[in-house]
Amino acid sequence: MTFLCAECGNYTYFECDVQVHRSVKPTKEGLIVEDATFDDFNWSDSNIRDGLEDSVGYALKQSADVLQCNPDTGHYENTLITCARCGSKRVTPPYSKWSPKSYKSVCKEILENREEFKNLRKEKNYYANTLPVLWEP
Amino acid sequence: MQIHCRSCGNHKGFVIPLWVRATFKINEDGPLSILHTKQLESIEEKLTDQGKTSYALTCQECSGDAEITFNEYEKLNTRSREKHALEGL
Repeated sequence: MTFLCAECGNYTYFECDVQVHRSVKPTKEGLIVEDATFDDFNWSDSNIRDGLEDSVGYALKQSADVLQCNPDTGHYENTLITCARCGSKRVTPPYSKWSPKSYKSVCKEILENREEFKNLRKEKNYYANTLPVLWEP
Repeated sequence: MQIHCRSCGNHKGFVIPLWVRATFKINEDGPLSILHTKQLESIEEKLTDQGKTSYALTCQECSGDAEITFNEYEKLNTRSREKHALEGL
């Protein structure tokens, strides 16, 4: 589950606005608007896919940045992703990785993994300690 | 209607950015599936705004601003009218 709509519980279908570049070719009959292509590469298709992945990735990673409080409703709304079922903008990742109950400090985690790190250090090869080999023809 | 690039003079291919609303599905394992796209902007409006409030239409070759002449015969008509007026005088 990546996103969850707080209104209807939908976690599958969403909407997102992306910018697509399209090709405009003037002809005698009028304008021909079609996908922008360069050789075999379809730039318009790539725009949609990349834009969508960027928006979804950004909304997941920086979820606090894309949430904006609506003073009328008092709810936080997603500025990028909208629910495709009910049209609500109350779309958020369903959980937060940070939780006050399961919070563990980095120092504590390092101490807990001390033995594992010691073992790793034994396995590590220190090439920097070996003497340089002289070049021979 | 005539379109030409102000930088390189190209009159064949141009590019215009348009906002679309994509409806997509989040798959549990794999990439996003695109179900539908809906155009949010009117190409006609963008073209008529070209040069007035924005330069959305750009050249496909050099990315320069494009200039649109909606009625290329307008200048000819004006010239012939001026000519007739002068002849009348």
